[in-house]
Amino acid sequence: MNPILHREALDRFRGRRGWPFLLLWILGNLTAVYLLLLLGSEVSNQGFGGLIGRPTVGPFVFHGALVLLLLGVVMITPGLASVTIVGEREKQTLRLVQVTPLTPFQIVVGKLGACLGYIGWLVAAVLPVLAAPLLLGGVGLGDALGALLMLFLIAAAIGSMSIWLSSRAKSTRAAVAGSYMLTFMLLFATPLVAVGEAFFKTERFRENLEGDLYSLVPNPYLALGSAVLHPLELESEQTPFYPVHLYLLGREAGDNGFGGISPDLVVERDGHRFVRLTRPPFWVFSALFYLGLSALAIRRATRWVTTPSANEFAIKRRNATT
Amino acid sequence: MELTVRTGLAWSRGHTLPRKAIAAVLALTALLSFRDAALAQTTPPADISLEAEIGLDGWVELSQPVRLRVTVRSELLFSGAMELRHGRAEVVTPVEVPAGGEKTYELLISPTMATQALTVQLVAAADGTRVASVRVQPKNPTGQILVGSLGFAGELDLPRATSIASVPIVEVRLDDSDAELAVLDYLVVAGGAQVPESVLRWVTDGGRLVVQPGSASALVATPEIGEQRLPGAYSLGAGQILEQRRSIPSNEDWASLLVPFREERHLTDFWGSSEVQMIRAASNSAKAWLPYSGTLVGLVVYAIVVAPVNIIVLRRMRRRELAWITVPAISLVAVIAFVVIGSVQNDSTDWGQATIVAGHGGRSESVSVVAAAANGPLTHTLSTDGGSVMYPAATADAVGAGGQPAVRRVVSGQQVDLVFGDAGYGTVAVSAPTPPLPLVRVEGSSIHVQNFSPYEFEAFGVVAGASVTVASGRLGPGSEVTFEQNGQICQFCNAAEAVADQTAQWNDSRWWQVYQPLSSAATGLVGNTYFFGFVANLPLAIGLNAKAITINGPGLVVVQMEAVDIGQAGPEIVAMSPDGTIQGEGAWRWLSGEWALMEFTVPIDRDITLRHEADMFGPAPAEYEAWDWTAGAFVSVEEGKIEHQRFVDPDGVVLLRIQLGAGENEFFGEFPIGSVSLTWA
Repeated sequence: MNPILHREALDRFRGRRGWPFLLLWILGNLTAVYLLLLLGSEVSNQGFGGLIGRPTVGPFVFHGALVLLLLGVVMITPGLASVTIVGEREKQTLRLVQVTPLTPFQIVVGKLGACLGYIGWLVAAVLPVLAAPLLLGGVGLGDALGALLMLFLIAAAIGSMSIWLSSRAKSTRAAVAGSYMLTFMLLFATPLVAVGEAFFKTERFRENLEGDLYSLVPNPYLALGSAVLHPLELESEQTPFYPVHLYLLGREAGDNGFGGISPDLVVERDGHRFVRLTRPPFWVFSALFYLGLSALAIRRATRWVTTPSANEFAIKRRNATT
Repeated sequence: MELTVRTGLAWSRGHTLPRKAIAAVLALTALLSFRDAALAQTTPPADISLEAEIGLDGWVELSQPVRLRVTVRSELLFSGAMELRHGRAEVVTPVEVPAGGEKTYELLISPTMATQALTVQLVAAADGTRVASVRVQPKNPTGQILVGSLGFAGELDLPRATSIASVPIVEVRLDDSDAELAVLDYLVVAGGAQVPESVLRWVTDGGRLVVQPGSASALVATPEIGEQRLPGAYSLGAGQILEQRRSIPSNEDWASLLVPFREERHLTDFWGSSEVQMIRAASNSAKAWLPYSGTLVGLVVYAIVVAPVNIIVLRRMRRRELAWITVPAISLVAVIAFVVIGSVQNDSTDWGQATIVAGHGGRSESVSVVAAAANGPLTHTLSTDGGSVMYPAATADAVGAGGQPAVRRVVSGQQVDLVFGDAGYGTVAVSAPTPPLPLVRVEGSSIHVQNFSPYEFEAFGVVAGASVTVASGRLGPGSEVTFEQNGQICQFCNAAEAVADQTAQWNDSRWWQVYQPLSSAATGLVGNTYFFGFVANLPLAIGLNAKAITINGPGLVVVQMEAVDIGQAGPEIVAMSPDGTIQGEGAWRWLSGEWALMEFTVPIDRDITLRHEADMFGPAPAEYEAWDWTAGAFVSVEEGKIEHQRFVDPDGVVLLRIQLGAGENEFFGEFPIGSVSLTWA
């Protein structure tokens, strides 16, 4: 086992605040899911309501819980990861780690692993809350698994990015601020950039949009939504991922919201109507992007954590004596 | 200079994370792509053919279930299913055709399904391959007069349009008197043709039969024929038998004989159709539902076990780091418990139903809609006895609502299987024999009701256009009661809203979610003037998975009344300009378009007053025109008294054409139908 990861794992539960935070985390998620259930029941009572609306509650609650969990991951990951290396530097313990036989890559991956491990542990703790919508129907284990894998990739990308910033930052404050800024850019700036991209691709919105909006690929909400909604159905319920469904329909089937989908692209199975994809699913692009971003960030962070050379120590010693 | 390209794999030499990460992404791709595996399309073989016919020569009557006939011919033995799709709703029926043979399958479908082109597909049982498909286009009779001809060698020489309001006339040639006559407005039979029993039944239900001069008297000789009401015109039940003036009528003869008389059957807004409203009532008839009560307690217990208990125990053991393992382990156990409980609960299904028992036009019917909600994949077999008919009802997505409908497998006219592939809902309609109905008599302003039905009415009264009278108290089976009409105009009211208003039951959601749609559906069935009685529980007996069960649900009993008895005639829209539409439901119906032709039935011996309720949130008509029966033309009229001799025909029919004009109200630009009425002292 990576020694850094081992040490972080042992240190994680040393404090006295461990279980209150865990309890609050679980109860907070439970409260959110229950509120989603109340909201979903209310939404399902619109229109036909009652028995007909009832089967839509499960997907509504599940998708809502995933969006909340995504927000949780997005809020927690930068805070955890961005202090890892710069914190060692500020405590002046980084050099001690650097002079151990560990390679810079092992140091970075150990820090990242500890961070992602804790995120994964928190997610695991609320899995029963997330699994509760399974009781309502309309949600499968495959949906849950796909969502968790995509969440892991998102956390890995944000964590790696934060560690890279942490490795080059001079203060914890700068690292935290930079990490949150980059994370929020992924979440909120990408849709704004996408509007600009659409502006140029559609001749100032005069033509129908065809193909991908590449600036949306990094967006965690779309990435998670596209993974959960795969394979893409022609119809969707009014869940928190409904905007993602609309975007994907336009992307995969050229539907501009008026049902203009070619019958050739519709495949029926088990009473459901699926859209036959003509290009790789959107979530594949996102997954590759997150993987690439993680690899790049780890590589950059590794450079910044590289053990100082003997010459550098010599120069510093000489400077100190003079 | 040497250009070096360093790939991620090259860079990762010596390190394991990128490879593992790439492998993980590839595994993720494979996992999620697995769900795409069955989406491939297949190629159909060519030794099988399919023909489909709907309604009467494609014309469909949208107030009742529509009959679809599909003929399958196959060179080889074929075993599989016939699929019919409407939005997300799928109706299938098993098909088996011997080698070199042909078979015709008939199935009843929801009228809502017959509002647009349908694709019928044959699917082989062996591999699910689609082997043939055919598209059938139902024709909507709205805005036209359908005239059937029976027993003629050639086509009738009919004019293009009626003289009243220029409504287009369309001829439909019949080879068979047992055809679906309900869609026809008129049926013309040749001189020598025998008038079959099925035709007379159709007349009794409201049809208009045209016969050769002098032929009606022969029919009149039979005891069941009604009385002569006008020269050459006889009534039979709710319908009429009309004699042609000449053996070979001229265009003018036809144009004056054929008049629009039936209320427009096709609402452009299907949300307002009787079927859709009944589905809404059935869906809301089940008990209020909030799951999780037990689950919530379980999750709180889980949180307490995982967080304080687990961590405190580990602290005492001085092995806090084991929380990395114990928390996910306890979580996994809880998830498995949920999955197990969920799979058990997936076998459960919630049921609801709503029923309308209606007496109108000389006949009666009892229609129930059953709604079911399931949490997971399962199949239910619903059946009914020989005296009833069961067919797939409309689904919510037909009107743009959400939810995954179950596949309805039509086994026969008495059996439908609901096949849930996942969590979803299913709907079927049951048309059952009608129980005895209440007898309603009007004496002056008093209404006397004898309840011969087997139900207790928790609220009852009379609707007369925009006026709703709610009687006090309940009315049990076998009881009778007399109450006075209050004659008050209830704006935007239907029966349920009037009851909720007068009995101060505003907080009881049943009146809004169940009885309100039932009332709207009733208005679509019996028109503007009727007795109503709400029944808290009108049970429906059906077979479920070969066991007899009773589904409880609300009911509404309605009996059509003559407007002349009530003192106020509301309009029936019998024709509209080509751009005209009717939207809304029940009493809340709105017209748009250039003009609309309204029919009123009034007493023939009273002074008639034309009224417009100015405060019904809509613009006044730009112009009123009444059909002058003596001059044979529309004449402009004003609000107030209208001239009896000119505008009321011997049957008491007044035809009023209103020019709608442009809407002035920002929110209510269209014209509320209920704002125009004829009254008499």
